Amino acid sequence: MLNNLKHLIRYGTHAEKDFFLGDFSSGYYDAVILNGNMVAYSLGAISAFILRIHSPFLIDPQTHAFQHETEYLLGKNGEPKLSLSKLATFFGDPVRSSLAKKRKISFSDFTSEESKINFVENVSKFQVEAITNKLSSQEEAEYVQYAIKDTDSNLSERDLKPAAIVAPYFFISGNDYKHWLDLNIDLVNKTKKYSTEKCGSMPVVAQLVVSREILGDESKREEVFFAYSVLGCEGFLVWVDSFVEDEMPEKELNDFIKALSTLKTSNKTVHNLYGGYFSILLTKLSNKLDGVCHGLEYGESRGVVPIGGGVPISKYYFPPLHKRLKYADLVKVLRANKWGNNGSKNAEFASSVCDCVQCTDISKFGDSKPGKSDKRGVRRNYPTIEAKQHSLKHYLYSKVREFKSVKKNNLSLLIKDMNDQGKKYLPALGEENVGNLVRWKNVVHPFVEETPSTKAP
Amino acid sequence: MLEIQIQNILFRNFKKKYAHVLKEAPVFSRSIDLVYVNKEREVISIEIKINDWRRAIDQAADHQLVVDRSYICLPNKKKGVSGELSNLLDSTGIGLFFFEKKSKTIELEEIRPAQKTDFSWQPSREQLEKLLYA
Repeated sequence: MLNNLKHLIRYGTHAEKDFFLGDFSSGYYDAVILNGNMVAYSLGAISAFILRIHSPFLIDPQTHAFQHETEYLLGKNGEPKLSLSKLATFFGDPVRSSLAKKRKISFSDFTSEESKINFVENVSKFQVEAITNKLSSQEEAEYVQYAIKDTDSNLSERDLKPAAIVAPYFFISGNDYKHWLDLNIDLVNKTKKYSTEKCGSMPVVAQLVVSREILGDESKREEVFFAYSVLGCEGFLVWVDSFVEDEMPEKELNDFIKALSTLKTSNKTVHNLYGGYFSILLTKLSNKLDGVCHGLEYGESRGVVPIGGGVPISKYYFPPLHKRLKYADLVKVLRANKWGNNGSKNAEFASSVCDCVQCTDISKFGDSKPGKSDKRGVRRNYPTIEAKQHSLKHYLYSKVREFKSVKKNNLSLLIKDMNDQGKKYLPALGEENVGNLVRWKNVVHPFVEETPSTKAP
Repeated sequence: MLEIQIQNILFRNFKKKYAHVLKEAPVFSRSIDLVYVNKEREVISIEIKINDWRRAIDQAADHQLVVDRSYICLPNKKKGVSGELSNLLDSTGIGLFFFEKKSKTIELEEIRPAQKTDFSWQPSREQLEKLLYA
């Protein structure tokens, strides 16, 4: 089943609910990934959401959250963040006790076999049972039972359980990487055992979260990815810390491919948890990726440690370059090509850039309001809520088209398209903006011959 | 001297000369250091930078999408204009001011006039004009 999941979307906040239940309710994605802290913090709302989406889902238990410095564990009031506290309550010790003491967890806190077994059991139970328990204890329980029995509702008990259990995991980086690696491997094996004995052999996936330093060090990379490749789980969720595909040099993109080659075996799935078009391209290559997950517009890469929110700026996902452009850069493209501001009402824009409904009103992407001046007197424009929604819908349409295009076209054609688009938009946007296409095509080009059904025309 | 101090002095000077002047005028997701309407009723932008003139060029190029003439404003280092900068100014049509601190004020010298742009992104232009004429 996991290998059927190509396009995954991360459900980041409840404000995104309408996209999943509205315009993008079906056919736009194969599965949803839920953040464990959201599940723990708002179990009722998440359960109601799951009841309505009728889609495979996974719960990322976010166990790594407890291994970071206290500034990421504690709120402004100096107390543990509520969402983490709730998660820790589900997971029990050692994370619960370390959070209560306001300190980060260490690999040495997992002192005994028993502590690891209990932790695995709690993290697994949380994923498998929390939602069904909530639904059976709420007013909806009667409705849920009725809906499951009603064949017209298409709801089955299976819809209320995740597609797989994500084993507890910790970030692998720095001097202690071997300790964390050993602990992670042990936790995956124990989760597999737990699933076999207590969960009817539900699939288990291992989440492999590594730093770019590990990825770039051949010896460490081989050690880590090989150790995972021989595990008995059904699949892997890969996350390289702050791996921004459209900014990465060719060396790091190649390292990523090498890591996937080491990890991937024919009977196990590999999904990139935070990826963009480059990762989608890798689903075309033999034995690299089975699928890609992204968030709603901002989730094609992510730092393991939360990075400050930053200033929200208007951006437009520019399909020919497969990346987001500053709104000013979009205007430069419109100027250079004399496309005016009619967006996709202009036939050339529609065929070259995008023909989605949102693009009929191109000026709406830049709708903004001047904010208040900061301490230095700097006053910026902030995108309106409408502009953000407009931009998000266009992004989701674009992503669906990318998955379809990669599936339909052979690799040579996809490379040729990157080459053509790079040349076309170089004069208006400069090397900085189109360089991603050059790097991507250079990195995937060696695979043209070995990729099935992708012989050059 | 900090950029913000130069900006404040120039803002005061321009206020004495022109009716419609703004500092930190929001355009797209940035803000223009100084913007004013000249006697020909053209909207002029100035991006001030003490260092990193390449970044100033990038920002001024964004301003060109909205204003009639776009300038960068750099310290007068008596070395004149480098070949690289000169070529970029020519190819982009961005103008150049040198600034120099003279006792309590700042003097501006127009080294290269900005070319008038032949394009204006109306939604942003209207937003900017609304602020300028408010």
